[in-house]
Amino acid sequence: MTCKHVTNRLNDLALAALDGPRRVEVEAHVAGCPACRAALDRERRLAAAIDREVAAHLAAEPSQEFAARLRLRLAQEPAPETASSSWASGLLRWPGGWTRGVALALAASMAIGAVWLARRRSSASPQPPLPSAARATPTPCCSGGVPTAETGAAPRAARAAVRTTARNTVSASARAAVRTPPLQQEALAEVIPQVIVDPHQQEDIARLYYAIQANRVDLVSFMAVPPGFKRQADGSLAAAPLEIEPAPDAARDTWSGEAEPAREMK
Amino acid sequence: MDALVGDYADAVVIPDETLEREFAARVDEASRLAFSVAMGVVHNRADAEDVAQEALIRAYRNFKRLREPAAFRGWLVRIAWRLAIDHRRSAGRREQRELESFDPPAGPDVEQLAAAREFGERLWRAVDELPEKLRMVVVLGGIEGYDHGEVAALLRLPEGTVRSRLFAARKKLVEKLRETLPDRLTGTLT
Repeated sequence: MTCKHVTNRLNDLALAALDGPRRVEVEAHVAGCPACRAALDRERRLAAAIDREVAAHLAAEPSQEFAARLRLRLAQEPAPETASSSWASGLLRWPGGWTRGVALALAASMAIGAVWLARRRSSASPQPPLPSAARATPTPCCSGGVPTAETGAAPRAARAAVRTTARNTVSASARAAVRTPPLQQEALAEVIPQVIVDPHQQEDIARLYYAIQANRVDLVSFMAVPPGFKRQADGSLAAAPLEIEPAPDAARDTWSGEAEPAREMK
Repeated sequence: MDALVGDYADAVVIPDETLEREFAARVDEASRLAFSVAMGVVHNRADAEDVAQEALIRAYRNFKRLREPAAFRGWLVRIAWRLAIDHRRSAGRREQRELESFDPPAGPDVEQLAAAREFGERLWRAVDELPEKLRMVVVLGGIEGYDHGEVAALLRLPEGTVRSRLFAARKKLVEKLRETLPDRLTGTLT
Protein backbone atom coordinates (compact mmCIF):
# COMPACT_ATOMS: atom_id res chain seq x y z
CA MET A 1 0.00 0.00 0.00
CA THR A 2 1.44 3.36 -1.05
CA CYS A 3 1.25 6.76 0.68
CA LYS A 4 -1.25 7.91 -1.96
CA HIS A 5 -3.67 5.11 -1.05
CA VAL A 6 -3.23 5.66 2.66
CA THR A 7 -3.78 9.42 2.53
CA ASN A 8 -7.38 8.88 1.46
CA ARG A 9 -7.93 6.61 4.46
CA LEU A 10 -6.25 8.72 7.11
CA ASN A 11 -9.33 10.79 7.70
CA ASP A 12 -11.42 7.67 8.33
CA LEU A 13 -8.80 6.30 10.64
CA ALA A 14 -8.61 9.57 12.58
CA LEU A 15 -12.39 9.57 13.01
CA ALA A 16 -12.35 5.93 14.12
CA ALA A 17 -14.46 4.93 11.17
CA LEU A 18 -12.11 2.39 9.69
CA ASP A 19 -12.17 -1.22 10.77
CA GLY A 20 -11.44 -4.69 9.51
CA PRO A 21 -8.57 -5.56 7.16
CA ARG A 22 -8.38 -2.02 5.76
CA ARG A 23 -7.63 -0.61 9.16
CA VAL A 24 -4.87 -3.17 9.68
CA GLU A 25 -3.34 -2.29 6.31
CA VAL A 26 -3.41 1.47 6.93
CA GLU A 27 -2.01 1.14 10.44
CA ALA A 28 0.78 -1.09 9.16
CA HIS A 29 1.72 1.53 6.59
CA VAL A 30 1.53 4.41 9.04
CA ALA A 31 3.77 2.55 11.48
CA GLY A 32 6.57 2.51 8.93
CA CYS A 33 6.01 5.90 7.24
CA PRO A 34 6.90 9.06 9.21
CA ALA A 35 5.13 11.37 6.74
CA CYS A 36 1.84 9.48 6.94
CA ARG A 37 2.20 9.21 10.72
CA ALA A 38 2.55 12.99 10.96
CA ALA A 39 -0.45 13.45 8.65
CA LEU A 40 -2.52 11.05 10.77
CA ASP A 41 -1.50 12.90 13.91
CA ARG A 42 -2.58 16.18 12.33
CA GLU A 43 -5.94 14.72 11.35
CA ARG A 44 -6.52 13.39 14.82
CA ARG A 45 -5.66 16.71 16.47
CA LEU A 46 -7.93 18.52 14.05
CA ALA A 47 -10.85 16.14 14.73
CA ALA A 48 -10.31 16.48 18.49
CA ALA A 49 -10.15 20.28 18.23
CA ILE A 50 -13.42 20.31 16.30
CA ASP A 51 -15.17 18.21 18.93
CA ARG A 52 -13.76 20.38 21.71
CA GLU A 53 -14.78 23.64 20.10
CA VAL A 54 -18.29 22.42 19.28
CA ALA A 55 -18.79 21.18 22.84
CA ALA A 56 -17.37 24.36 24.40
CA HIS A 57 -19.49 26.60 22.19
CA LEU A 58 -22.69 24.72 22.98
CA ALA A 59 -21.90 24.52 26.68
CA ALA A 60 -22.52 28.25 27.03
CA GLU A 61 -25.11 28.97 29.69
CA PRO A 62 -27.92 31.45 29.29
CA SER A 63 -27.71 34.51 31.50
CA GLN A 64 -29.50 34.83 34.83
CA GLU A 65 -31.85 37.35 33.28
CA PHE A 66 -32.94 34.79 30.72
CA ALA A 67 -34.78 32.69 33.30
CA ALA A 68 -36.48 35.75 34.77
CA ARG A 69 -37.48 37.11 31.38
CA LEU A 70 -38.81 33.73 30.30
CA ARG A 71 -40.77 33.36 33.52
CA LEU A 72 -42.36 36.73 33.04
CA ARG A 73 -43.13 36.11 29.37
CA LEU A 74 -44.77 32.79 30.15
CA ALA A 75 -46.73 34.37 32.96
CA GLN A 76 -48.05 37.05 30.64
CA GLU A 77 -49.12 34.53 28.04
CA PRO A 78 -52.79 33.61 28.01
CA ALA A 79 -53.46 29.99 28.87
CA PRO A 80 -52.76 27.77 25.86
CA GLU A 81 -55.65 27.32 23.46
CA THR A 82 -58.15 28.85 25.84
CA ALA A 83 -58.89 32.17 24.21
CA SER A 84 -61.99 33.79 25.60
CA SER A 85 -65.08 33.04 23.60
CA SER A 86 -66.67 36.25 24.72
CA TRP A 87 -67.12 38.66 21.84
CA ALA A 88 -66.86 41.50 24.27
CA SER A 89 -63.46 40.50 25.55
CA GLY A 90 -62.32 39.93 21.96
CA LEU A 91 -63.48 43.42 21.14
CA LEU A 92 -61.69 44.79 24.15
CA ARG A 93 -58.45 43.17 23.09
CA TRP A 94 -58.61 44.98 19.79
CA PRO A 95 -56.61 47.01 18.89
CA GLY A 96 -54.73 46.35 22.12
CA GLY A 97 -52.79 48.72 24.27
CA TRP A 98 -55.59 50.77 25.77
CA THR A 99 -57.13 47.74 27.46
CA ARG A 100 -54.04 47.37 29.57
CA GLY A 101 -54.38 50.90 30.84
CA VAL A 102 -58.04 50.32 31.65
CA ALA A 103 -57.18 47.04 33.36
CA LEU A 104 -54.50 48.61 35.49
CA ALA A 105 -56.75 51.51 36.46
CA LEU A 106 -59.49 49.06 37.37
CA ALA A 107 -57.16 46.93 39.42
CA ALA A 108 -55.83 49.95 41.28
CA SER A 109 -59.28 51.30 42.05
CA MET A 110 -60.45 47.86 43.15
CA ALA A 111 -57.47 47.48 45.44
CA ILE A 112 -58.33 50.80 47.04
CA GLY A 113 -61.93 49.74 47.34
CA ALA A 114 -60.92 46.46 48.91
CA VAL A 115 -58.87 48.25 51.54
CA TRP A 116 -61.74 50.55 52.32
CA LEU A 117 -64.18 47.65 52.59
CA ALA A 118 -61.79 45.67 54.75
CA ARG A 119 -61.36 48.58 57.16
CA ARG A 120 -65.08 49.11 57.26
CA ARG A 121 -65.68 45.45 58.10
CA SER A 122 -62.92 45.18 60.61
CA SER A 123 -64.26 48.20 62.45
CA ALA A 124 -67.79 46.77 62.37
CA SER A 125 -67.05 43.22 63.57
CA PRO A 126 -63.83 41.70 64.89
CA GLN A 127 -62.50 38.79 62.81
CA PRO A 128 -60.78 35.67 64.13
CA PRO A 129 -56.98 35.86 64.18
CA LEU A 130 -55.31 34.63 61.01
CA PRO A 131 -52.56 32.01 61.14
CA SER A 132 -49.13 33.45 60.59
CA ALA A 133 -48.74 31.50 57.32
CA ALA A 134 -51.65 33.36 55.87
CA ARG A 135 -49.83 36.65 56.32
CA ALA A 136 -46.83 35.46 54.39
CA THR A 137 -46.19 37.37 51.22
CA PRO A 138 -46.22 35.09 48.16
CA THR A 139 -42.69 34.53 46.98
CA PRO A 140 -41.49 33.23 43.62
CA CYS A 141 -40.90 29.50 43.82
CA CYS A 142 -38.66 28.02 41.24
CA SER A 143 -35.61 25.84 40.96
CA GLY A 144 -32.51 26.82 39.11
CA GLY A 145 -33.93 30.15 38.12
CA VAL A 146 -36.40 28.53 35.75
CA PRO A 147 -40.07 28.19 36.49
CA THR A 148 -41.24 24.85 37.74
CA ALA A 149 -44.40 23.50 39.21
CA GLU A 150 -45.72 25.02 42.40
CA THR A 151 -43.23 24.31 45.17
CA GLY A 152 -43.44 27.15 47.66
CA ALA A 153 -44.72 25.89 51.01
CA ALA A 154 -45.44 29.30 52.51
CA PRO A 155 -47.67 30.60 49.71
CA ARG A 156 -49.48 27.26 49.63
CA ALA A 157 -50.05 27.40 53.34
CA ALA A 158 -51.16 30.99 53.03
CA ARG A 159 -53.68 30.08 50.40
CA ALA A 160 -55.01 27.22 52.49
CA ALA A 161 -55.32 29.46 55.51
CA VAL A 162 -57.09 32.17 53.59
CA ARG A 163 -59.47 29.57 52.24
CA THR A 164 -60.57 28.59 55.71
CA THR A 165 -60.64 31.94 57.42
CA ALA A 166 -61.76 34.47 54.91
CA ARG A 167 -65.01 32.96 53.74
CA ASN A 168 -66.80 36.13 54.58
CA THR A 169 -64.84 38.05 52.00
CA VAL A 170 -64.67 35.77 48.95
CA SER A 171 -67.22 33.20 47.94
CA ALA A 172 -66.13 29.60 47.38
CA SER A 173 -67.32 29.54 43.80
CA ALA A 174 -65.33 32.63 42.99
CA ARG A 175 -62.24 31.16 44.59
CA ALA A 176 -62.54 28.00 42.50
CA ALA A 177 -62.85 30.01 39.34
CA VAL A 178 -59.89 32.22 40.11
CA ARG A 179 -57.36 29.42 39.88
CA THR A 180 -54.09 30.84 38.76
CA PRO A 181 -51.90 28.65 36.52
CA PRO A 182 -48.72 27.43 38.24
CA LEU A 183 -46.39 29.34 35.94
CA GLN A 184 -48.29 32.50 36.65
CA GLN A 185 -48.38 32.00 40.38
CA GLU A 186 -44.61 32.28 40.48
CA ALA A 187 -44.61 35.55 38.68
CA LEU A 188 -47.23 37.14 40.91
CA ALA A 189 -44.71 38.58 43.31
CA GLU A 190 -42.90 40.31 40.45
CA VAL A 191 -45.95 41.43 38.56
CA ILE A 192 -48.23 42.90 41.19
CA PRO A 193 -47.61 46.47 42.25
CA GLN A 194 -46.92 47.40 45.84
CA VAL A 195 -50.27 48.36 47.32
CA ILE A 196 -51.44 48.21 50.88
CA VAL A 197 -54.00 45.46 51.13
CA ASP A 198 -55.70 43.84 54.06
CA PRO A 199 -53.89 40.56 54.82
CA HIS A 200 -57.13 38.64 54.47
CA GLN A 201 -57.54 39.82 50.91
CA GLN A 202 -53.94 39.96 49.78
CA GLU A 203 -54.03 36.85 47.69
CA ASP A 204 -57.38 37.62 46.10
CA ILE A 205 -56.25 41.07 45.06
CA ALA A 206 -53.07 39.66 43.58
CA ARG A 207 -54.96 37.07 41.60
CA LEU A 208 -57.48 39.58 40.42
CA TYR A 209 -54.79 42.04 39.39
CA TYR A 210 -52.92 39.41 37.46
CA ALA A 211 -55.96 38.03 35.70
CA ILE A 212 -56.90 41.51 34.55
CA GLN A 213 -53.40 42.25 33.39
CA ALA A 214 -53.25 38.99 31.45
CA ASN A 215 -56.48 39.88 29.64
CA ARG A 216 -58.25 36.90 31.13
CA VAL A 217 -61.07 38.90 32.55
CA ASP A 218 -63.99 40.17 30.59
CA LEU A 219 -63.74 43.83 31.41
CA VAL A 220 -67.26 44.52 30.25
CA SER A 221 -68.52 42.66 33.29
CA PHE A 222 -66.77 45.20 35.43
CA MET A 223 -68.45 48.14 33.83
CA ALA A 224 -71.51 47.90 36.09
CA VAL A 225 -71.03 49.93 39.24
CA PRO A 226 -71.10 47.55 42.19
CA PRO A 227 -72.91 48.44 45.41
CA GLY A 228 -70.89 50.78 47.58
CA PHE A 229 -68.96 52.27 44.66
CA LYS A 230 -69.38 55.31 42.54
CA ARG A 231 -68.24 56.00 38.98
CA GLN A 232 -65.87 58.94 38.74
CA ALA A 233 -65.45 61.38 35.86
CA ASP A 234 -62.46 59.51 34.45
CA GLY A 235 -64.41 56.25 34.41
CA SER A 236 -62.67 54.66 37.39
CA LEU A 237 -64.53 53.37 40.43
CA ALA A 238 -64.26 54.91 43.84
CA ALA A 239 -65.83 53.95 47.13
CA ALA A 240 -69.00 55.97 47.63
CA PRO A 241 -69.18 57.99 50.84
CA LEU A 242 -71.54 56.74 53.48
CA GLU A 243 -74.87 58.47 53.43
CA ILE A 244 -76.46 58.67 56.87
CA GLU A 245 -79.98 59.85 57.07
CA PRO A 246 -80.64 62.20 59.98
CA ALA A 247 -83.06 60.95 62.57
CA PRO A 248 -86.42 62.78 63.02
CA ASP A 249 -86.20 65.67 65.43
CA ALA A 250 -88.88 64.24 67.62
CA ALA A 251 -86.93 61.05 68.39
CA ARG A 252 -83.45 62.56 68.60
CA ASP A 253 -83.22 62.75 72.39
CA THR A 254 -84.96 59.53 73.32
CA TRP A 255 -83.26 56.19 73.80
CA SER A 256 -86.54 54.24 73.97
CA GLY A 257 -87.84 55.53 70.68
CA GLU A 258 -90.78 57.30 72.31
CA ALA A 259 -91.17 60.94 71.51
CA GLU A 260 -90.65 63.26 74.43
CA PRO A 261 -93.55 65.62 74.91
CA ALA A 262 -92.78 69.19 74.09
CA ARG A 263 -92.25 71.42 77.09
CA GLU A 264 -94.44 74.32 77.46
CA MET A 265 -92.73 77.65 77.67
CA LYS A 266 -93.80 79.66 80.61
CA MET B 1 -65.92 42.77 47.65
CA ASP B 2 -68.34 39.88 47.29
CA ALA B 3 -70.09 41.63 44.47
CA LEU B 4 -66.80 42.36 42.73
CA VAL B 5 -65.47 38.85 43.01
CA GLY B 6 -68.79 37.47 41.88
CA ASP B 7 -68.51 39.35 38.59
CA TYR B 8 -64.87 38.39 38.36
CA ALA B 9 -65.64 34.71 38.83
CA ASP B 10 -68.07 34.73 35.94
CA ALA B 11 -65.68 36.52 33.65
CA VAL B 12 -62.50 34.50 34.14
CA VAL B 13 -61.57 31.88 31.59
CA ILE B 14 -60.22 28.90 33.48
CA PRO B 15 -57.09 27.43 31.86
CA ASP B 16 -56.34 23.74 31.66
CA GLU B 17 -54.19 23.33 34.76
CA THR B 18 -52.99 19.90 33.81
CA LEU B 19 -51.45 21.30 30.67
CA GLU B 20 -49.89 24.12 32.61
CA ARG B 21 -48.30 21.76 35.09
CA GLU B 22 -47.04 19.43 32.37
CA PHE B 23 -45.41 22.32 30.59
CA ALA B 24 -43.97 23.72 33.80
CA ALA B 25 -42.38 20.37 34.56
CA ARG B 26 -40.57 20.44 31.23
CA VAL B 27 -39.55 24.07 31.10
CA ASP B 28 -36.35 23.65 33.09
CA GLU B 29 -34.70 21.18 30.77
CA ALA B 30 -36.41 22.52 27.69
CA SER B 31 -35.11 26.05 28.10
CA ARG B 32 -31.54 24.77 28.30
CA LEU B 33 -32.03 22.61 25.21
CA ALA B 34 -33.63 25.39 23.21
CA PHE B 35 -30.82 27.75 24.15
CA SER B 36 -28.12 25.29 23.07
CA VAL B 37 -29.82 24.61 19.75
CA ALA B 38 -30.15 28.33 19.12
CA MET B 39 -26.55 28.89 20.13
CA GLY B 40 -25.44 26.31 17.56
CA VAL B 41 -27.10 28.36 14.83
CA VAL B 42 -26.83 32.00 15.79
CA HIS B 43 -23.53 31.72 17.72
CA ASN B 44 -24.36 34.63 19.96
CA ARG B 45 -25.64 34.43 23.51
CA ALA B 46 -28.07 37.33 23.36
CA ASP B 47 -29.57 36.20 20.06
CA ALA B 48 -29.71 32.61 21.31
CA GLU B 49 -31.65 33.74 24.38
CA ASP B 50 -34.13 35.62 22.21
CA VAL B 51 -34.61 32.60 19.99
CA ALA B 52 -34.91 30.17 22.89
CA GLN B 53 -37.45 32.35 24.62
CA GLU B 54 -39.54 32.68 21.50
CA ALA B 55 -39.35 28.94 20.90
CA LEU B 56 -40.56 28.20 24.41
CA ILE B 57 -43.39 30.70 24.11
CA ARG B 58 -44.53 29.10 20.87
CA ALA B 59 -44.22 25.67 22.38
CA TYR B 60 -46.32 26.84 25.32
CA ARG B 61 -48.98 28.30 23.07
CA ASN B 62 -49.28 25.11 21.06
CA PHE B 63 -48.60 22.62 23.82
CA LYS B 64 -52.15 21.34 23.70
CA ARG B 65 -51.74 20.29 20.09
CA LEU B 66 -48.93 17.94 20.96
CA ARG B 67 -50.40 14.45 20.93
CA GLU B 68 -47.36 12.63 22.25
CA PRO B 69 -45.83 14.24 25.34
CA ALA B 70 -42.68 12.17 24.78
CA ALA B 71 -42.10 14.04 21.52
CA PHE B 72 -41.97 17.40 23.28
CA ARG B 73 -38.20 17.85 23.19
CA GLY B 74 -37.89 16.93 19.51
CA TRP B 75 -40.74 19.25 18.73
CA LEU B 76 -39.10 22.06 20.66
CA VAL B 77 -35.79 21.43 18.91
CA ARG B 78 -37.45 21.88 15.53
CA ILE B 79 -39.17 25.07 16.62
CA ALA B 80 -35.93 26.49 18.02
CA TRP B 81 -34.00 25.44 14.93
CA ARG B 82 -36.39 27.10 12.49
CA LEU B 83 -36.57 30.26 14.56
CA ALA B 84 -32.79 30.41 14.81
CA ILE B 85 -32.41 30.00 11.05
CA ASP B 86 -34.91 32.80 10.47
CA HIS B 87 -33.19 34.94 13.08
CA ARG B 88 -29.86 34.50 11.38
CA ARG B 89 -31.19 35.63 8.06
CA SER B 90 -31.60 39.10 9.37
CA ALA B 91 -28.68 41.08 7.98
CA GLY B 92 -28.36 43.44 10.91
CA ARG B 93 -28.23 40.66 13.43
CA ARG B 94 -25.66 38.80 11.38
CA GLU B 95 -23.28 41.74 11.46
CA GLN B 96 -23.75 42.10 15.17
CA ARG B 97 -23.31 38.40 15.73
CA GLU B 98 -20.04 38.28 13.82
CA LEU B 99 -18.70 41.08 15.94
CA GLU B 100 -19.73 39.61 19.25
CA SER B 101 -19.36 35.88 18.84
CA PHE B 102 -16.50 33.51 19.47
CA ASP B 103 -15.10 35.20 22.50
CA PRO B 104 -12.31 32.84 23.54
CA PRO B 105 -11.87 31.95 27.18
CA ALA B 106 -9.50 34.21 29.07
CA GLY B 107 -5.90 33.01 29.16
CA PRO B 108 -2.38 34.28 29.42
CA ASP B 109 -1.23 33.87 25.85
CA VAL B 110 -2.62 36.52 23.53
CA GLU B 111 -1.53 34.70 20.39
CA GLN B 112 -3.14 31.50 21.55
CA LEU B 113 -6.34 33.37 22.30
CA ALA B 114 -6.36 34.91 18.85
CA ALA B 115 -5.67 31.52 17.29
CA ALA B 116 -8.49 29.90 19.27
CA ARG B 117 -10.84 32.66 18.21
CA GLU B 118 -9.91 32.31 14.56
CA PHE B 119 -10.24 28.54 14.73
CA GLY B 120 -13.73 28.88 16.23
CA GLU B 121 -14.80 31.29 13.54
CA ARG B 122 -13.51 29.08 10.76
CA LEU B 123 -15.05 25.98 12.27
CA TRP B 124 -18.52 27.45 12.70
CA ARG B 125 -18.38 28.96 9.24
CA ALA B 126 -17.69 25.45 7.96
CA VAL B 127 -20.52 24.05 10.10
CA ASP B 128 -22.89 26.67 8.73
CA GLU B 129 -22.03 25.56 5.20
CA LEU B 130 -22.96 21.95 5.89
CA PRO B 131 -26.26 20.59 4.60
CA GLU B 132 -28.98 21.12 7.19
CA LYS B 133 -29.33 17.42 8.02
CA LEU B 134 -25.66 17.16 8.91
CA ARG B 135 -25.59 20.49 10.66
CA MET B 136 -28.43 19.59 12.97
CA VAL B 137 -26.70 16.37 13.97
CA VAL B 138 -23.45 18.21 14.69
CA VAL B 139 -25.23 20.72 16.93
CA LEU B 140 -27.38 18.22 18.80
CA GLY B 141 -24.52 15.75 19.14
CA GLY B 142 -22.34 18.52 20.54
CA ILE B 143 -24.71 19.30 23.40
CA GLU B 144 -23.50 17.82 26.65
CA GLY B 145 -25.39 14.70 27.59
CA TYR B 146 -26.78 14.03 24.13
CA ASP B 147 -25.28 10.87 22.69
CA HIS B 148 -26.23 9.18 19.42
CA GLY B 149 -29.26 7.55 21.01
CA GLU B 150 -30.56 10.82 22.42
CA VAL B 151 -30.06 12.63 19.13
CA ALA B 152 -31.79 9.79 17.30
CA ALA B 153 -34.74 10.07 19.68
CA LEU B 154 -34.94 13.85 19.24
CA LEU B 155 -34.88 13.64 15.47
CA ARG B 156 -36.90 10.43 15.27
CA LEU B 157 -34.21 8.76 13.24
CA PRO B 158 -32.53 5.37 13.56
CA GLU B 159 -29.40 5.55 15.64
CA GLY B 160 -27.35 4.23 12.71
CA THR B 161 -28.50 7.13 10.57
CA VAL B 162 -27.43 9.61 13.21
CA ARG B 163 -24.06 7.90 13.50
CA SER B 164 -23.45 7.96 9.75
CA ARG B 165 -24.57 11.57 9.46
CA LEU B 166 -22.32 12.61 12.29
CA PHE B 167 -19.39 10.83 10.69
CA ALA B 168 -20.12 12.45 7.32
CA ALA B 169 -20.34 15.86 8.98
CA ARG B 170 -17.09 15.48 10.89
CA LYS B 171 -15.32 14.21 7.81
CA LYS B 172 -16.46 17.21 5.82
CA LEU B 173 -15.40 19.55 8.59
CA VAL B 174 -11.95 18.00 8.89
CA GLU B 175 -11.47 18.15 5.12
CA LYS B 176 -12.66 21.73 4.95
CA LEU B 177 -10.47 22.89 7.80
CA ARG B 178 -7.48 20.92 6.59
CA GLU B 179 -7.67 22.84 3.33
CA THR B 180 -8.34 26.25 4.76
CA LEU B 181 -6.63 26.26 8.14
CA PRO B 182 -3.33 28.15 8.05
CA ASP B 183 -0.25 26.31 9.28
CA ARG B 184 0.12 28.75 12.16
CA LEU B 185 -3.27 27.62 13.45
CA THR B 186 -2.60 23.96 12.84
CA GLY B 187 0.43 24.23 15.06
CA THR B 188 -1.71 25.50 17.93
CA LEU B 189 -3.98 22.46 17.91
CA THR B 190 -3.33 20.08 20.72
